[in-house]
Amino acid sequence: MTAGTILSVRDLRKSFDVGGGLLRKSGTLQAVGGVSFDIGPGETLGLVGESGCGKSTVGKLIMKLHHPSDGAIFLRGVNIAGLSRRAMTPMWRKVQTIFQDPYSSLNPRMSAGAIVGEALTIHRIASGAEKTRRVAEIFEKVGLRADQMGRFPHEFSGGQRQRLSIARALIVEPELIVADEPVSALDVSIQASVINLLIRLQKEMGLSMLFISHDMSVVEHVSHRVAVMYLGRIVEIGSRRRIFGDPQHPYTRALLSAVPVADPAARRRERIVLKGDVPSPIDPPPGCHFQTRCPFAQDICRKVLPDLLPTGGGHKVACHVRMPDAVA
Amino acid sequence: MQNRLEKAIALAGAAHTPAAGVAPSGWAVLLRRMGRFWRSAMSNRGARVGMVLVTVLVLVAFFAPWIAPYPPDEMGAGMSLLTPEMAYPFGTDEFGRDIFSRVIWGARLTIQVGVIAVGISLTVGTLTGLVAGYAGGWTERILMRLVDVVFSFTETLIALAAVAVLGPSLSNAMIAVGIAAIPFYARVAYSVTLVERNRAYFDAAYVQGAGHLRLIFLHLLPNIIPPLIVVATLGVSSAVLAAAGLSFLGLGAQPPSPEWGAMLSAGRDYFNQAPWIMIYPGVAIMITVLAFNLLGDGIREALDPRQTV
Repeated sequence: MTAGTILSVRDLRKSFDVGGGLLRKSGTLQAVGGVSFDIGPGETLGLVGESGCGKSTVGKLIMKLHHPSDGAIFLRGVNIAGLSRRAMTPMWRKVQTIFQDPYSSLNPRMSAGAIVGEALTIHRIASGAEKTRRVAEIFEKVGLRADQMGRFPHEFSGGQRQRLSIARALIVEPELIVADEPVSALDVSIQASVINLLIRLQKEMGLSMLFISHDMSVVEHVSHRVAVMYLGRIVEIGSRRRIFGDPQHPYTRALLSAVPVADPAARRRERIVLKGDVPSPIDPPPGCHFQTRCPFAQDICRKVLPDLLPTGGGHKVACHVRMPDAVA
Repeated sequence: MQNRLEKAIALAGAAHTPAAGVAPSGWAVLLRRMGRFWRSAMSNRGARVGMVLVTVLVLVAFFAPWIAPYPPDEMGAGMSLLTPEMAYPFGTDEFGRDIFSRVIWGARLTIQVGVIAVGISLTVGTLTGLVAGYAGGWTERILMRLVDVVFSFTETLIALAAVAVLGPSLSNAMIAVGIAAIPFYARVAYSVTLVERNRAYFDAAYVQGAGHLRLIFLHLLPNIIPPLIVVATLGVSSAVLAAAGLSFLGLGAQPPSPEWGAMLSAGRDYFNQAPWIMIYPGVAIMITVLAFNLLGDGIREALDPRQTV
């Protein structure tokens, strides 16, 4: 952990007890199985992976919406992993979140201004006219009009609702934003404007961001660095250029080859189609979690879980085969 | 920029309640939504009929001293068991009291029973279910198992036990009926709370640092009210019926109170000679119960998402 690090996650784990009915044996679902990464000031880390790979759980753990089973989360050097709700309250001024669903994330019985301004009251930052002024200010900042403060969530469109969600997150002037699929519920035509708003605000306010998404092209657009998750573990992490230009892990390659390309000349590139489904996180396969679907799996992959090892330039990959180019 | 901002703020302030500043509270919204919802409920014919009957009942209760031709307990010597005629539209009872006046005065007691009994079960039940659903864990288990215990007794049995402990009187009957109905409200409040607390706005408020009270009363409560309105409306009719039943058994209102259930009970002995002593209070109970059932069903239909656009 370097001095300038905003967020530092170390060996974060979360398991849920599942099943356990009268007649069924209960099991443990390891949603997050030892995840580590850092986010620096003003940096965006994209966290990608398929549904159910645990990426949203990582976001919820950082927000303390779930309690970590093990590991540490350092926010500006303070380990928040074990903090109680009360002790966490001041930390929520430093880390805020944007939710995926712009419909259920706004209380239908509160006005837009009340929703956005609530944190000012809770943290005793401002009240009365000063509160109104600050809410109006943030409304303008996210591209809404201050005279819309008295309206209710159902009077806004999906894109506007997501702007409200962004305003709510930013009003406490946090240092870190956890954006959990912030645009995946929006129309494609609206996605770009919301993403660009996020990028602009990030630059203006010097925000760090954990951008969780399953959409590789969106992640490529917003991220400085990218982490790829598979079945609760990071399989590859590195700069955007390395991940998108020279992916090492077979899973990353498969994800990238699934991104549609508009250029017809590029259509004849290799296409890695994964067979089968993601294995159950209740009963993960032995060895490398990816071995059941990996086209390059070897004996060692079926026995030993590969560590996330540096390959130079801050890039890390967890693969025994390490994807030598010849194989591809 | 600054100027534009101030103008906008002024506009926002002018358009909405200035007292609340940025925040017309969740309750203001609830009221506004209720207006819209009300119109939708009133488009149902049954609900309109129910509403008219309930309004009539309330008006009759309120203006009882002016409507009723005689005081409810004024006895007339030599005028007992008169058949209905112009001077006594519903006839008289064994003491020569005017049944019509007594039925009208009884409306007051019925309204009281409805409001107080439902008030008790609605308040206690909603809070129980809300807290159980919000807190989870042991609090939830203990509260809901307690509710289940109360649920497993029949309402009348609980009411009987409560009256046995507190003594027979109309106010004790109201309390008893109120206690007996708590589980219904608690169950509904609990299940709706579970749904609402899994919505993202709850998590959002949580990570804003909202405390227990704020989460419960500002975020959850306004969102669980609508289904409880249905239960409460339907609950009025069962409370009225249960209280009348207790009074009929002699465990509620005591003579000479013009409570409808007590009047039924008193008229039993004279049913062969003077059936009107029992018929009119009985009809009054029936109409009241019907009115609240119609209203409740109408509201439920208006709330049914399949019928709302």
